[in-house]
Amino acid sequence: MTFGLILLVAASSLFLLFGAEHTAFADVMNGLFHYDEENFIHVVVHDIRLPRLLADIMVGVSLAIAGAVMQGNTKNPMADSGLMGISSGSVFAILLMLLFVPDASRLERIGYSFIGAAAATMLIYGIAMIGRGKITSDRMVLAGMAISTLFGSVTTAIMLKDGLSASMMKYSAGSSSNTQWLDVTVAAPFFIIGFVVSILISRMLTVLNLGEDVSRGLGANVKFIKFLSTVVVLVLSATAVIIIGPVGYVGLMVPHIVRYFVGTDYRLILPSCAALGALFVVVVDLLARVLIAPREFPIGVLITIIGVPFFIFISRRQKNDSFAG
Amino acid sequence: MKHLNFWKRFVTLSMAMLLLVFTAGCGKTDGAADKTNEGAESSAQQIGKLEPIPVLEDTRPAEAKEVTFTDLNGTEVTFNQNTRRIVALSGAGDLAAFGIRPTAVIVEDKVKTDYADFFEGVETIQNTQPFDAEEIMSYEPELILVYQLMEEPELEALRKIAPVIPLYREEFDFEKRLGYIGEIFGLQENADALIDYAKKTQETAIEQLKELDLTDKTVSMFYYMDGISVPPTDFWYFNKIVYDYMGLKMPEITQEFLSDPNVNPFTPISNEKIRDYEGDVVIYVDIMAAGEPQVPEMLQSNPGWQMLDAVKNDKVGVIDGMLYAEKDVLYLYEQYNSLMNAFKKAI
Repeated sequence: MTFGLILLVAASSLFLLFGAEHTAFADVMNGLFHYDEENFIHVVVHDIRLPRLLADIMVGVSLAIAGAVMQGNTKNPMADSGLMGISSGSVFAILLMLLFVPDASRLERIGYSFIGAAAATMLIYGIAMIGRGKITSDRMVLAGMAISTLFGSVTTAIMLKDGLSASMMKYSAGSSSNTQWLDVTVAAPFFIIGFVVSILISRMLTVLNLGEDVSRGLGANVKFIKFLSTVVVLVLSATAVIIIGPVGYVGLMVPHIVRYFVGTDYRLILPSCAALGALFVVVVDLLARVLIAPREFPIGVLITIIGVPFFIFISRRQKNDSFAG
Repeated sequence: MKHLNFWKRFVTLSMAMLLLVFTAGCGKTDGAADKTNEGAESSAQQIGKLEPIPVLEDTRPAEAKEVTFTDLNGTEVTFNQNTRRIVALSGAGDLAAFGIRPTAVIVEDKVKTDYADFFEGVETIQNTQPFDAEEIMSYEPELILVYQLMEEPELEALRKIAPVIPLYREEFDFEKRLGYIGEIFGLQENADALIDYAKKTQETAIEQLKELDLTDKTVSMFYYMDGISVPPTDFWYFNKIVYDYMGLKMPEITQEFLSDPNVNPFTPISNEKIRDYEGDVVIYVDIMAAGEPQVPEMLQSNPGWQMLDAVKNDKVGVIDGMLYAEKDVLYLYEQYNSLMNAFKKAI
């Protein structure tokens, strides 16, 4: 984790230093500490790169922790807020907004995105509750896939019908290129709440990881832990989605890598996921900004390019190994 | 336990119902349409000497008249020249200007609302990308008009429904395009009137736009779609008017951006670099206008955008992009009026 934090600081420095516009180290320092709103370079550093960096950190931390908690909660190594349909609810809500309130403000857009994510989560749990017996991880995953497919299909149909393909395609690709201070300040309270609660329940998650019966035997309130975990996943996933759009695979990849190094104790897994998740998104977004500058590459596309082979690798590995996390 | 199961099912069903209601509501755009109408009615000043488009009548007799016509691809098509059962996958604005009221056309809701008299009783085709053969059949067409570049397999599918004639969609020459429609329907008088109107409108408008003393000025057009970018020249008629007819120049960096074969023209430009793309005159193209075109809040608060001189001096002209998606003669008057007002604001 410490190593991850050091790397994160280094990557953040590079993030502030490099971009489409040439900036010297002194410019970065002046932009941060002697900000002059009439100075274009200061604006680039202070109002374009810095909020984007903070947003990337929040997104990385949120998605990685949400993925780790979700995988532990559902006992499914493939669980990820993107793959489980939460993001698709958000995309659907944004589509409805573009249809009915195309001139919605930035703040309203954030609100719609959040409501969509919440509705998707409730639907997933609602569907998983149908029938007899307990909510199992398989049910959750299947419900998530069903919701994701449903929202995805309806979104595509409406996009094609109402000619919103281009704008929705761009949103669906995931990008932090237009992140502003408003996004950071709106998302920050949710992020902080989600992050703090996740750290607080990390011990309980470790206990839950021993199995529900064992956890009960140790005096844990399994239902309460699961409920709280779900809330954490929802809040953190929605935070990421409202900033960057639907981005998958971070919550899948990072927890797996972290577990490989730190084992199964969530008190170590979650902070490590936070550091590595933030590092991963910051580095990928840095690449997205400089690879084809002055144009931008959607970060979501880059993450997917990295994530899909990882997903296949994990899928193949699961045939032989049981899920330890 | 039974009660618990009942509530689980009740909650689940309620959520599913909610989702369905949301989905079903997507087709109801009346509210939005009303709003756009208000916007259109309050459209800004008009160019002094420009005349609105003449309202023409479809003077074809009601009796069927079978003719054989050689289309722009050299294919012979036999059809009823007096038919009113027309489905138009292209040229809605040109046909409306002729006074022809097809059964169904492809047209934006906003355009249909703004030109309500011209599209009275005309259905809007719902499935356009790709078209749905069953939907087209449901209109029972006797003639299908399509765009020039439609591919052969699609043409073949449509020919099974009714005779198909492609129109000059890509053609900027009004004489060629409107004369061709006049030939198809035997409405040469209407074609001549519209060609004459188009020529006069263009000449007058260009002359007046040139009076704004824009010579040697570079003009930047920007649009915003989850990122700031430059509208590609081939897609929008305003580019043709500004850069070809008026002879204005775009900044060199914009030319490089648009001519780079490796770059998707819809790719956003970094907020850090958008200032480099600023010309002497800045026009914002609102491609999502629900009413009066405007710079969206998402862009207004963008730090890169805020650093443009034109933005700082409140000198950004705004046009409605959808108005320029087609170059049909019906929209010509409003297109030039809108551009004139945008330039007046921007200089």
